[in-house]
Amino acid sequence: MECAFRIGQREANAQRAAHPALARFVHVLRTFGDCTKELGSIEGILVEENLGVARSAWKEELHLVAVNTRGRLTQLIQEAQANLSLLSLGEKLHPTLEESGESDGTTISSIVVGNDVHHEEMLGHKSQSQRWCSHACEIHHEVMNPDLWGKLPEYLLELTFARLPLNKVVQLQSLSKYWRFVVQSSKPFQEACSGFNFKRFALVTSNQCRDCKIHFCDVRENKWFLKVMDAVSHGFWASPVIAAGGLLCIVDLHQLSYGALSISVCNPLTSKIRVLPPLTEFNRWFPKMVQLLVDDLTGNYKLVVVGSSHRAPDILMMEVYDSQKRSWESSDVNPVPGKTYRDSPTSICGYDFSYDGLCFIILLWCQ
Amino acid sequence: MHFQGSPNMAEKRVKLISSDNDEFEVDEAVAFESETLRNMIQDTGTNVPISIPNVSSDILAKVLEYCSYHAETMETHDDKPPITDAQIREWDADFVDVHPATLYSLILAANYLNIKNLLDLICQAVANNIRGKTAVEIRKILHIQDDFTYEEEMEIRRETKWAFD
Repeated sequence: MECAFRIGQREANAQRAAHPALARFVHVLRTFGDCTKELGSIEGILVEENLGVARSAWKEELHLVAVNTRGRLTQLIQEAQANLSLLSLGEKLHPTLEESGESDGTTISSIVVGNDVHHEEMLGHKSQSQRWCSHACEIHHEVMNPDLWGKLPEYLLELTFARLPLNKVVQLQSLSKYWRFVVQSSKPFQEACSGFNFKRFALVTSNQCRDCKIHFCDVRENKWFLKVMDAVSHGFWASPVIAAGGLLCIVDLHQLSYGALSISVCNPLTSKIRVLPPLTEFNRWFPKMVQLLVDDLTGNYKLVVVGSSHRAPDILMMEVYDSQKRSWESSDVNPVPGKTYRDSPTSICGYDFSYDGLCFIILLWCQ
Repeated sequence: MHFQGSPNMAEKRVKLISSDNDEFEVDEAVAFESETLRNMIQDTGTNVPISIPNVSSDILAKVLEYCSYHAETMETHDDKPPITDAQIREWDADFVDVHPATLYSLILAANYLNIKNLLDLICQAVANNIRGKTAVEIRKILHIQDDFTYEEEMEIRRETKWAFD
């Protein structure tokens, strides 16, 4: 259903363009009708402010998010489009988030790596808080003996810390080098964190070139945290374009018009950025769309860039960046008609930065 | 071996010996709440008493109290209404409402005996108690050595500032 909505939107644009590539993409979709069900899950919300020329494109993205979530959120996002500030959107979102459970069909998932933590009960909270003296002073020595708790094995501490709220987990980085390492890169810890996670997400806004604002929502604490990342501003027009699995893909749209494409992938939670190498066959084609696919289990990701060949605009070209190999590979994007790809298809719809009314929805199938 | 007076005659009983040589006897189902004990029993059977050298009798009693209750919640009785999830949660909350030193011993015992639910319960209780504390307080409580240089600390502060507001 979501997919149909999107195609409808895009088709209206595309009829003007009457591009053969689009006809093919619709055909592809029909061929793999079953796979398109997977389009229902949206991996993150991105809200752009002041994006100028891309504004209309973004509205579509927002609608796409909206049809996937509950009515309340739809309404809020429409309000956001009516130029409400993002913070007030966040405030209004609070009650919605509190209510949202697993069963109501809300499909927003995170762009935050598994560090946001869900707690079920404030077990024995009131009675214990009296005893848990935080300052470990002389008087309360026997109550909260630091020597005792200091001997707790690290992995039991990890289990405990994994149950803390998002902002606390981030704060843990300032405890010691070891904890900085654990929070940023320890797989067991991040897995433990995600084990207690509620649905979590972040809203990302950017004002074109200067900085990127990430509004993390901690559903447990019913709080928003604003993180401003200025590190993304290494390119003049660098904008966050797509998010998946806790990672954010940043494309420098300005460079594109000069015949270059600068793509970086960052983790907004840790501020780590990887600037990807240039596309291998960039001079032969014009990239139009990008999509990020993240493997939840391993944290590895693939970045798919699709575009059309200079030689023949109706020929689709695709390059895929593999975070493990750290290199690009070109692939054939045109599926073989009649062949069944039902084994393990991953359908993706990406951020279309070409503004020419064309869109590609790619169905990837794993070997 | 069947013991007389056991509530369920079909149930095997298991003997456990704490670090201070106290003997406990429980139903096999209770001991099976612990993954470690389950493996031991499956290896050696229920005839040999199992010694638990690193858990003292008061803590072992607490742990077995937890195991008995949770083993009981799994059973279905025709004459009694089943125990609701809310009742279990309440019982659990009372269970961890103990002195932090006891909680500390419990977390180690639950870890050694590999009782996942108990470990989860205690970790959550500890987390709830330190969640209101600042990073500096947590460092003090849990005795974590600060090994950053001044410059590193400033950088981390700048990076994580958003989480402190």
